[in-house]
Amino acid sequence: MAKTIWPKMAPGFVAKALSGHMAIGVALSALLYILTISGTLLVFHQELERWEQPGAPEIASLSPDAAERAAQAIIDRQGQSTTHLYVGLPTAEFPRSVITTDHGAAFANSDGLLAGREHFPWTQFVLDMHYYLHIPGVLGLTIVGILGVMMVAMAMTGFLAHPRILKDAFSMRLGRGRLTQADLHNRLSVWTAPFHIAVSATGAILGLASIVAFGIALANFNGDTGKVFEPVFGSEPPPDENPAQLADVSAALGHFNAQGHNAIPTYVIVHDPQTAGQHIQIIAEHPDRVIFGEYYNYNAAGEFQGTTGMSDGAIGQQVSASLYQLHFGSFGGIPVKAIYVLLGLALAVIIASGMRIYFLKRAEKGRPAVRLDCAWTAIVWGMPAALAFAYLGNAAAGLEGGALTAIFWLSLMVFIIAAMVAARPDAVSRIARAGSGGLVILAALVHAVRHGGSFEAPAAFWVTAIFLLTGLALAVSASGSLRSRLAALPPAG
Amino acid sequence: MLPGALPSLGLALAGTAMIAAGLYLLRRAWRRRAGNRGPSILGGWALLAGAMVPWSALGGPDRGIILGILAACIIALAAVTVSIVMPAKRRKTREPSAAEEISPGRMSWHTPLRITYVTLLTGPLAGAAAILLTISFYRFLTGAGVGAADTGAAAFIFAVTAWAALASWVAMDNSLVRKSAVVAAFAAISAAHIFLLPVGGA
Repeated sequence: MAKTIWPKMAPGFVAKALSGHMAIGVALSALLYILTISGTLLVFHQELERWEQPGAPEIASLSPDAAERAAQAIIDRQGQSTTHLYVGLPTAEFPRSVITTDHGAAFANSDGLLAGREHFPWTQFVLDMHYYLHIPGVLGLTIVGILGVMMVAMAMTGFLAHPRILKDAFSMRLGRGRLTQADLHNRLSVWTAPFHIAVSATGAILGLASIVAFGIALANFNGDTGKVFEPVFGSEPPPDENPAQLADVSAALGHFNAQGHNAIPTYVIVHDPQTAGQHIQIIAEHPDRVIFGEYYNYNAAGEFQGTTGMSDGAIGQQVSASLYQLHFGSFGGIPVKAIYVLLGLALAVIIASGMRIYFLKRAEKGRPAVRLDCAWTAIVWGMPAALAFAYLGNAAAGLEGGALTAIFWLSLMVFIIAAMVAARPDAVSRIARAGSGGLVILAALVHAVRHGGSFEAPAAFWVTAIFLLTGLALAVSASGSLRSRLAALPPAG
Repeated sequence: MLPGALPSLGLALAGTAMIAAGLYLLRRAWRRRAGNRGPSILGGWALLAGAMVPWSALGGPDRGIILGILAACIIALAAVTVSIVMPAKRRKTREPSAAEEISPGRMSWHTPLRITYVTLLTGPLAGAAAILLTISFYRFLTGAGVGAADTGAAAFIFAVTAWAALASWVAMDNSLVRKSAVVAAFAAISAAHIFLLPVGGA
């Protein structure tokens, strides 16, 4: 027998770890699955935003003068004071300029003229699902953060529960029911561990940042959370509410461009615009880095004041600046996004197969939970249908915001109840997949009809094509169950 | 071909080849049930670690390593997929150990009251203990002279890790009293540390 350098874990400890793994999994799999699917979709959130408004102006660049014109135009149009003004600059991945204030956002063309409202209600609904589970404010963000923590705990208990997980990292026993599911669950888990641990941990950090900072601030800074974040993200000069002309966006952007930076500017932010205390930050992406960018700071006259240090400051700043990109996979263009989608789907399979093992084990023990199994199947295969329903609600009836949230959760609830009444897991699985496939195809076709004039826009075409293929795959999988085909394969030995 | 594309392609190929070779060695070692597997295991991990060098040269110091790890995930998944699509020759395999089987019968939380309590203990209570522990850790790092930005970032990572570890313990332990005591002890010790250690003091 081959020797191992690792200490042998006591069987009792392993059993406890497995029990803990299962307890968390059974309790939270539904929410974790919803977060995983929505997160996987949102890897392409920029493309989805473009898909929802395929006719919006797409431009290669925005000159400093045009940026200033667009900033002034939105302030003039809205006629209200705002705490921040963002000029989104076009990039290769998102060739649009969006000007945003506290009161809304509008596209700008290459001359800096405003060109219609930015409006992507369905993508926003998916964003709200992933960020907040549709629970408003810090509470939703914190609950999502806690689910991230539990995902990390699942990884911890999973590794503790499977001492042989590395040794068996390449084993697959086919055609053996629960063992095949267990192998699928374990193999995907071990080989995607770097991804799902990183994504869960970064999600947890982003979600819990508010309450952790509040705790630290309460104990150290009389509750001033700014003191926790300022060393990382920099501090703002003291406010001065006296009125002033809008800060010189053109001068700041012109100075930045003249420096010949390797960095790509993505945003110009005016803090407290049209007040005497206003100042400008330019966020610029640094190629070959995971950080979201560096802050280049300017005063209201557009004079350079220095950088914040996200790219070359303290390690803590660089790590903090990398969390968002690492979570959403937005640091390597389409190839990295595609890998994130693949690994995100693998995570969804891990969650789904974990529950499948639980139900199969219960059945083997003579304690089947058929209705619960049906409910779970309805969540897994019904989620695409619920997402498609929400899109159709927007496309057909102009619904948005809370109405889309209601459509999604109510339709998922109806699927669950119907599945529990049917009490036939295989039939539920087939019907849910066929229904989801059909609805996803319908949603893609409705989009194509609605935006027929802009159908040739790259984002519109490719996203629609991918949705059509996804719908088709779901429908095909319903006609001949993949699971039964897997089971029919000869055993690997 | 674009200038500079050839060296980039070379680095990507070198990194990918090293990952594939490393995974092959690990696969060979882990599938063997007897003999000296040490050199293959060490060689496999060394190749995987070494592959990060060309990936770093290609994609930047931090970004390149992450790209390399993603490449390793994808190549390993491809290998597993191949083993599904093209099953290996039939050979004798061990039966799964009990540890690989999830046993719902092991659940000890049979009553709604117990479930509610364990849920609270795993979530908000373990979370509160983890945040107290994090504040204590923050105070310790500040007192030790670690920079404010590094302390802040470390605290956020620590909070998530501590909460996940405590939640894991709570979920694993069968004894309600013991798991409650562990969470309470972490909270009490951290609170005492925060109370006794002045702000900014070591």
